[in-house]
Amino acid sequence: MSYSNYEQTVIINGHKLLGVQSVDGSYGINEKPIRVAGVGFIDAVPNAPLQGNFSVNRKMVGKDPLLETDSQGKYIYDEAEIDGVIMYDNDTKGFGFTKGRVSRYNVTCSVGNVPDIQTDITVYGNLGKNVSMNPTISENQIVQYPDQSSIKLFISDFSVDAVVDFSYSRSINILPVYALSKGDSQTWTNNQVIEDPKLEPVQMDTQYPIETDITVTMIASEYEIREIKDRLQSAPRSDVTIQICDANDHSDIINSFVGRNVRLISESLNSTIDGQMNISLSYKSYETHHNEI
Amino acid sequence: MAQPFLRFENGKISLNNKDLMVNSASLSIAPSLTVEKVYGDYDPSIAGARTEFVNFAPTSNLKGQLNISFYISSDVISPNSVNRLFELVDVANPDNSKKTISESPINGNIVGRYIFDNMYLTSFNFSLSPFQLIVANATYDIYGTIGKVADTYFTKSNVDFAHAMKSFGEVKISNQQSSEEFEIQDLNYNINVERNISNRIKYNEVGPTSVLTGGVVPARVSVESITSEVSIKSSDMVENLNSYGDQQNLSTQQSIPDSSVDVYLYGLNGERISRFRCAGKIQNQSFSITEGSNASSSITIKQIVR
Repeated sequence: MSYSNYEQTVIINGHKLLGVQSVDGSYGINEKPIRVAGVGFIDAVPNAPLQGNFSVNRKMVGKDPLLETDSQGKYIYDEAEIDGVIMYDNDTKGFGFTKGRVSRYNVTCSVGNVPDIQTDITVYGNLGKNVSMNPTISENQIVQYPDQSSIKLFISDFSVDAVVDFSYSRSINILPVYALSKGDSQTWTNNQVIEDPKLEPVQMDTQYPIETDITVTMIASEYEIREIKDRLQSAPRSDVTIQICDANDHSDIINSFVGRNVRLISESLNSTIDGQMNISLSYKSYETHHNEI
Repeated sequence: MAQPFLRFENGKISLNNKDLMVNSASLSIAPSLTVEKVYGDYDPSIAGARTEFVNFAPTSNLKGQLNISFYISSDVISPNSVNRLFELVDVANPDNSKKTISESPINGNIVGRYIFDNMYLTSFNFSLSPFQLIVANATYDIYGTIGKVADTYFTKSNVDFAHAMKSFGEVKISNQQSSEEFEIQDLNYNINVERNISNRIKYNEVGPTSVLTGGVVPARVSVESITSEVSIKSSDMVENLNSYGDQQNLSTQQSIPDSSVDVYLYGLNGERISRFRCAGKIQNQSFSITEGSNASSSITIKQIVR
């Protein structure tokens, strides 16, 4: 039996995701081949923890529940584990995961298109059928569409010309810490199997800083590319704000993305015979754990 | 016709006439030589005698060393059953009362194309790291020379190898159970034998032994001491460490029990393999924190077995 796209639901942390275009889930086992002198190859045994990957591509047609922030305005997914599942066959079957961490969050948009969101999740827990099959579903989300007139981009140190596309990307490195299993002499004496084989990390730490890359391409009008020597010596910082609003109500922000204290790291100019002259600006920022910069 | 260089698959390693599943081995042998110099004829230019080199002279037995790195397996009839091969394992196992090992030589040893006798175990160690196969290392001293044998191999399959995924450790600092948050990232177990060789003058001088290729071998290779040592890389150090190597939480150093680390080795299929213990005093501990990783501690405990 096959399952059509309209029969599937993608749930992350209890939220049914809107606008899902594709989902990829995979895992891999690393093995070490055992070779012995005077024999040759004997067997292959696992030699690394199980890690899976889950990737979700969506169109931005509503508020993204993954962009929930804490009281300090930091994204909760930076530090929190997430669970998820793809449910199908009338929600009786599923392919889910536990102990996932967002490793990359990427938004891209160009004129004429609804913004795309790509979320990559690294799974350190369980992954497979019947995992996370009973999520508590949050209330249904409202579908909201942006159009090109409702997407706003602000850069603090100059007036932006007509933007033709942008991308916003955050990369999060996770350091999983694994430990040996625990047991005692009773386990050994009674020939028992250890209750808690440490197949999952005992700790998962986000490695700061989190790097945010913002790229903006605009039609060259007022803006002029700066001199590289000036940029290198002064390296001023700006704030970049991207607001994606409802096409029907431009004051209703669907999602917004902010790059604070970003530095312009590259500028490029592109001109072709069949198009307008474009200027691309790339900004980078570093988000810290405690030490605000 | 044999190839000039031995293939890995044809380089069987047997100790005490038992085949062993070894992933690397190194064999070395060397005479212990000194330079013999004598005063020569009178040399008028210096108004004395010049020294002259005569020959190299042996000062001790021909001695070699074998280092092997091998996989521990759970199958009792497997070539690598550590219980059968290494008496040191019995010494390390708290279920046994054995406190020393045999002084008899291990004979009938083959490493690749070379055969030799008179081998004595001097150290055995293994390490546990999360998700890693457990690889053990053993070191032997060899006395006498080596001979040559034809290339050979053996076959083996369906082996349940000792694996850290099923094995575990238990740490008790001054006999106190470690806290729930205490985690071990790596564990190294070492057991060493200090040996002393004895040669008999008459035995060495008389009889055919003095003209054999290998010369003489020691009359006795005694076991002087056996020590075990465990080093763990862990989440915490021991607080309130006193100068006796104990954790002292009260105002007296009296009657503080030893600290111990028990290591329980299991095969990947869940078979019990062997248990090792080191109970003694904390020899050192350290803490380090480096950019790009979590802080980690290291604790070393040493036991004098004999």
